[in-house]
Amino acid sequence: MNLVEEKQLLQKIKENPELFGEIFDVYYKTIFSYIFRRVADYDIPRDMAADVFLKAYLKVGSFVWKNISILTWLYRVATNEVNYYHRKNKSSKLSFEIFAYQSEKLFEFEDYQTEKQHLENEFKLNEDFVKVQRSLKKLNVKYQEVISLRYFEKKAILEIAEILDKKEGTVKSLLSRGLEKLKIEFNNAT
Amino acid sequence: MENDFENRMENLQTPDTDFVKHQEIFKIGLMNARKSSRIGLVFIIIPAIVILIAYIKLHFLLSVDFTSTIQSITNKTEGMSYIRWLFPTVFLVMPLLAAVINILALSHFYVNKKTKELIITIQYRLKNLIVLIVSLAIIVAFWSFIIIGYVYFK
Repeated sequence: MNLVEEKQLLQKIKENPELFGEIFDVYYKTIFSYIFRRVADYDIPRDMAADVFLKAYLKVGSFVWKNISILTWLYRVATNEVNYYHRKNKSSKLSFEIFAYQSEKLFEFEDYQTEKQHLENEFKLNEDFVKVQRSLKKLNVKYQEVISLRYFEKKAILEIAEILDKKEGTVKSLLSRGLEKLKIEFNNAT
Repeated sequence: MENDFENRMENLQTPDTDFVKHQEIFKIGLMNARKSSRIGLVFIIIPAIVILIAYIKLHFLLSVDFTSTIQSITNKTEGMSYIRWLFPTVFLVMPLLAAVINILALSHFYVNKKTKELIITIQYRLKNLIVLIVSLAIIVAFWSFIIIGYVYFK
């Protein structure tokens, strides 16, 4: 979807919220994949992606168009969710929510196990990514978000700046410092 | 060396997720998220207004035309069998339905087979919570009215 189409769709959604389904259909996999690559799990990214789209759906009526793609907005919400998760995980390993996330859901869809297994296999096939991801988790969240958007999502500096609502110079600086720290963690781990 | 690492990052292969399909189930729940509080609101609006007006009349001793009209209609239709069902339907069944719909909208159920735990998480969504609280208040008011009436006339 280009910007013009997105703007028209948003205007239609304000009159008919059911049309939000189109945004969900187009962007869900992208957002889920981003969260999945940052969190390296199956159940937690599913819940987080659902929360991202629920928040977006409930707030879409008050969304003000600023010539920024809906995907950028969704990335921003997803980044905040993941950052919050990483901060919580550092301080509290045994929180109630972690138990909930690690449990199996009561009413799972038929291919739950197949999909989960498939994603776990994908991790095994991408050893380099797993090592980088583990090292990345040890860094401050501000480095995690720029590095994952740049190298996992292959976003340009300008796009990252829009998503994180930061200046391009700040993003470049965070990337540069973040890569240095990541390299140290990566070399220590291997 | 620095460039080697950066090149490695640039060429990093990431796990493929194109095959995921679970979002179809999420979509159903997501698109109904708004409806649950609105449907609940429709079910409780009439009983809530009636109770509020009755309270105003009794507590502040104000005469309100609406309650007088209701009372006269009730007196005229007392013998009709279907009217006997109207009162409990409006003040019990509808708020109960509103409460159930909104409880389902707020809660998630998980089973941990390893630790044999049923874990229930309640999400904080203000509109659903408000409708739920008002529904339960109407049900409590209804039962209080029945019990007091039963005790008084016994």
